[in-house]
Amino acid sequence: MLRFVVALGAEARPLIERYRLRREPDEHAFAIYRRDEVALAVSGIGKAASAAATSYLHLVTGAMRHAAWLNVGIAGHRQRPVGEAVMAHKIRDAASGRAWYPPRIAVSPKSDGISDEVVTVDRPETKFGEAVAYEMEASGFYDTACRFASSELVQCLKVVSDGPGTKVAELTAAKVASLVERQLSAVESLAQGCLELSNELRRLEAEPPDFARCLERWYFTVTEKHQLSRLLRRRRTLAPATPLPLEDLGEQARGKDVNRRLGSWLDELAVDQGAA
Amino acid sequence: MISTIYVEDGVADHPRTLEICERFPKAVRVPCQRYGEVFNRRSQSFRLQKRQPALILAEKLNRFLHEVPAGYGIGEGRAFYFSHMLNCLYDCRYCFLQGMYRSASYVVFVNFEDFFAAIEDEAAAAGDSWFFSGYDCDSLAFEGVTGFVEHALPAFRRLPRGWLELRTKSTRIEALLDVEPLERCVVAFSFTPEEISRALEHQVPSVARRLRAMSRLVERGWRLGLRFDPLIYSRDFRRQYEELYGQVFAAVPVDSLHSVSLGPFRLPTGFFRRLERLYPDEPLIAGPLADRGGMVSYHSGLEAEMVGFCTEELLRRVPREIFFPCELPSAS
Repeated sequence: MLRFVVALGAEARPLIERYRLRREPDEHAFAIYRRDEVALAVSGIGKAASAAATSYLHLVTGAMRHAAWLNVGIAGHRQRPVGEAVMAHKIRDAASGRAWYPPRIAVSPKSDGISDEVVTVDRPETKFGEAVAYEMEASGFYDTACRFASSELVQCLKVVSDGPGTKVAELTAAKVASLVERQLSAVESLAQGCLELSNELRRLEAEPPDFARCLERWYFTVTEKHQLSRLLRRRRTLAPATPLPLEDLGEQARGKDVNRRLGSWLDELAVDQGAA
Repeated sequence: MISTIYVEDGVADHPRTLEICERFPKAVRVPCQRYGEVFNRRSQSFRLQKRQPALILAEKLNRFLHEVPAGYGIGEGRAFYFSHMLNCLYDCRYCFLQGMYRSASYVVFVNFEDFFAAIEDEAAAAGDSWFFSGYDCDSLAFEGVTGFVEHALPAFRRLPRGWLELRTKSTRIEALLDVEPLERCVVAFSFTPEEISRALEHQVPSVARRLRAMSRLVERGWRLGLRFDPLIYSRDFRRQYEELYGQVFAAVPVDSLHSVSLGPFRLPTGFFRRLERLYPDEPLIAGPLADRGGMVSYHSGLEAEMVGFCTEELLRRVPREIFFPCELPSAS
């Protein structure tokens, strides 16, 4: 599951083409594009809009945990050449001073070595006082997306579009799209790294076999459901192919009884197998 | 290899920070205000970060020493532990650090001298006292980067009544071989049987390599410790531990030993639950464990059987005076 949040339609266009995304019907609060496991929201400019679009995209795509989230867009930089892609290793919100540090686990060979601090400002930056990437969305995006996914899966990649001496008015939609398009391989590479991590976390949290079947057959309280899930994960490790020893339990049995039966069975198996 | 180093603003120009950063010239250096901004954040995966841990260089501001809980001592006097580093290079599946910290980044507190000053004060006040390194990290594994032991030994030489324990699974013993042994220092090596080590102690040197390191330290006159903690169950635990003890005592002369300790596997329940989520497919986690009074450990009968067997085997080889079984408070 891959989720893109971008500010401008022009930034989105190369991603839409690359991932062959289709626009969803117009009743959405944001322009939403999807295909299979990939979805994209065009947020509009600013951190509040980015945060809102991130939440919205999360909800309209089923509120799945541990998708890979990428914020892709343009940024201004005092020193870096126009066209260079930088991955955010620190995101600072200029107004509040808050900072976030996206863990660099999914660093790809194509984006490695070109990371930088990204500073989110409330108005377009013209002074470029620090040697950082200035833009207007990352802090809103990052803070929000980390509520839905582990921070290793949430990354920002910015393409340098301007700097001191550049006139923002010269940044046409075509030029913005072209800047992003030329860094598509870096985006894809980072997305691939994040997806791999996402798949690992999703695999860990996958529902164990027979969980739904047990819930259908017997009544479990919320606590007992958690216990059942843990027990069935143990079973997946110790005896994945062995049928559960529950067939003789009638439908009147309580969740507590089912769990007790499973626990004793698994303890015997664990002693017998010598788990380590 | 470290590819990202977070540096607290307050220690950005500390000589030790500069020295450590120089060892990783290709690493990206990221400034931060306090290490907790990076290390303690919610929404982090210890498991994912263990693939590529970052290094965080920070300053410890207070609480340099913590008193060791009752039952964990190895000699007379009060006992304290201290942590100049958080997290470990190794990846042992039973380790409590995975349950305790959200991040797998290595935090190194570069103000070693403040630790030594606190130790000096406590040693002066408490009389004979023990100071355990290696609680939140391995004492030697990162020595090539931090140089902590190299600095700690001269500090401890100045303390007539302060004892130092370095606890390790590492073979990085150069800092010890290069200097005169310190009489009040115990270099304690942790072991589980080789088969268990291979299955659970990822990146840890083999039992044989650790024993070779111990032999070299014995030749230099260092006093050693043996730590069979945690004891890990397997169906063959008797054979495995018997073989381990055979290996260990063939390589390490008993008269070089200061202490031998042993403790069953146990984890606070909250830590264990996190471990379950991080490694749900791990056989150790699926083992015959029970929650007993807020602590997850082997079922009491099994634990007693293992502790009994290992105690008996050890006492056939070492005098009782140097044997320190970990005494856990009984679960209510």
